[in-house]
Amino acid sequence: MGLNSSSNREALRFMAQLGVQDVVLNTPPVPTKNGKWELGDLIGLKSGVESWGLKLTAIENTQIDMRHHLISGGPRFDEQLENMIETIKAIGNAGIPMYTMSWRYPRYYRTGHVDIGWGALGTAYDAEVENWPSVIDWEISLDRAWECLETWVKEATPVAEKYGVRLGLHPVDPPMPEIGGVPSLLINFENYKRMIDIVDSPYNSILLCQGSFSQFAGADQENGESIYDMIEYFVKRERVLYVHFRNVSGTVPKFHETFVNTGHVDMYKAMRIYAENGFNGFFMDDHVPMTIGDSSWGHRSKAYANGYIQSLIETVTDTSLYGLH
Amino acid sequence: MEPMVAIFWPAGEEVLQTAAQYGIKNVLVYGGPGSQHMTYQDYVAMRMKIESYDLKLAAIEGGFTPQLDYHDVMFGGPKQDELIEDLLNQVRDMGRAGIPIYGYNWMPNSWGRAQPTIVRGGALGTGYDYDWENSRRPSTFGKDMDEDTMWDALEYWIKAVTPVAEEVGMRCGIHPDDPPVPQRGGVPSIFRNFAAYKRLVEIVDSDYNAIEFCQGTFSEMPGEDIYEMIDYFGKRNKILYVHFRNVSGKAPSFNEEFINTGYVNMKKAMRTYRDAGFTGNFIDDHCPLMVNDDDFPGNLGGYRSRLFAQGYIAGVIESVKKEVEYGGPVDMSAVRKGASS
Repeated sequence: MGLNSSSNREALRFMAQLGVQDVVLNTPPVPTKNGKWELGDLIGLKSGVESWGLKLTAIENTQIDMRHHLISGGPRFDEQLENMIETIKAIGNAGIPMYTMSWRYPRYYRTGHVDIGWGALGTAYDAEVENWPSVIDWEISLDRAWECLETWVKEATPVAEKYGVRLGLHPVDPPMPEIGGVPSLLINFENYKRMIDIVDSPYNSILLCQGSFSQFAGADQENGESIYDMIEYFVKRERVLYVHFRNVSGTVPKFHETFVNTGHVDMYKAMRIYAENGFNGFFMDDHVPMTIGDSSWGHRSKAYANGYIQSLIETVTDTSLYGLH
Repeated sequence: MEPMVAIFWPAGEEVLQTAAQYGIKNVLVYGGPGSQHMTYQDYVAMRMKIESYDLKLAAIEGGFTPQLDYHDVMFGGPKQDELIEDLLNQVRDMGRAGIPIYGYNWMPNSWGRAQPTIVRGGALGTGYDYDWENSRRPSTFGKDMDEDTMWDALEYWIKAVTPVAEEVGMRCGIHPDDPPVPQRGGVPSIFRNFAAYKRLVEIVDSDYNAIEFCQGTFSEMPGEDIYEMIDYFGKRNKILYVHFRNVSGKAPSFNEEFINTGYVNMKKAMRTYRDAGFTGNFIDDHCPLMVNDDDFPGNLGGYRSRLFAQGYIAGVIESVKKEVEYGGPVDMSAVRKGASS
């Protein structure tokens, strides 16, 4: 089990009280120096988390302007490739065992919010409303986009193995074929199979954002490419680092987020598949709905999701997360 | 089996809307006889306010017994009949207003705790120690009270209230003495063990003479097996609803814990309710005090701590129901063996 992005002291203490053990920091405020992160800053980040009895298990994303040419084949591709590889080395030297990132540019976005009951708000996406302008001033073909990804995986994976950092790629969210003039790759089962085959190594893995996978076209159908099929396939191959355990209603081109136990995915069934296939990573709450009276970070809503996640893990595996019974 | 949330009355909009948003469909209100005096109209208004949020007023919980005015009911004093008549009128009002369950207790000294304990992540759980309390609590009545007298008064009350409860369709049940120790301030704690509850339900054999099953307190009872008690009373349809909280151990010394860090295996407990045919609701009851939590208009614990427990309760209910069609939880020893072969 694990959590989340804020690194302030109150949030870390709150998470420790909720029973969280592994912390993931999403785009932490590490300064970018000459286009890369440096060891000293990462050590400071890690010790800040460890001082609350927690473990900094993963960093999720660097600043997007460290890697946008890398993802979308821009003129600074080679420079960013080199700097990101240096950053992976620094993460490994700092003793942080995972680095995950979203292979997409522009970043995650939504088009609005939906009332998911009595004024609770879930984020929503509708392709008819979405209207991203082009974010690049160069052209990139689908083939070139794959070439960029393949180059990254082939160059970064051996370095990651050497420095002890497992790498995982997060899907494009929303999983639409093209956004802002950049072709999206990690938007379906087939492309993820292709991605993990680029280099067959546990260091070339997946951040299984179950929410985003559940938004893939057809993920809610019994077609051999359902969310359950995808979980089973990648967990069996030991290519899932950890899971964003959230739920959604619908798939692209139109969907919205829900409470963890009210979307189209049967979370109990999903949890069984992880367990039956020997998954030993962790689960985090990720996005949660906005509810009345909650803090802007969503303490209440996060507490609810964490309670739910813990009970599913414990009940499905019939064990105690705390070794009690 | 469904989650339920317990709140003070009158309730603000925020807490009702919170319950509606998180899908906690059942509401328990603290009140009833002995709290603020409520009339039939007040109970109807309460129920309609709650139903206006698509929620159900599933129970009222309170206790007239810690109030000095009602002590003759518990000790058979001169005003016993007069007080019982007044209480029965209030019970009729609640039942006629459509309240399905009334949970109360038989604790003249209310509930009690000693020093709090640091639990997971530096949160605070309540703590109890018998010697600590005894060295501080004065004698309640200046003399030791007699346990047999209390049982006589209880039997008199149960025989009076049960037919009225049946008549108006409101099931009544008694919460255990918390802490379940022999006596406090010279007053015997009569509901402190399994045997006392077997005796209670046999006074009148009726679904309307039942138990407010505070699993937390039952778990604190020395020498008793919590799963056996759930099974025994669950099978006999004596459990009205459950206080689904956890503790570190049993009296004379224990502390409250987060729902999944106590000694009770909550998954096993939930399976025991299911297998005994129990269909009622589960409240979080007390929750540890967490950093910077928001005050919640109810029992111990703020919004954040309570919603953690509610998420856990929702998950364990869902899992225990769904696992039936799979034949139980995943056999992890087989998974591990498979992985290593």
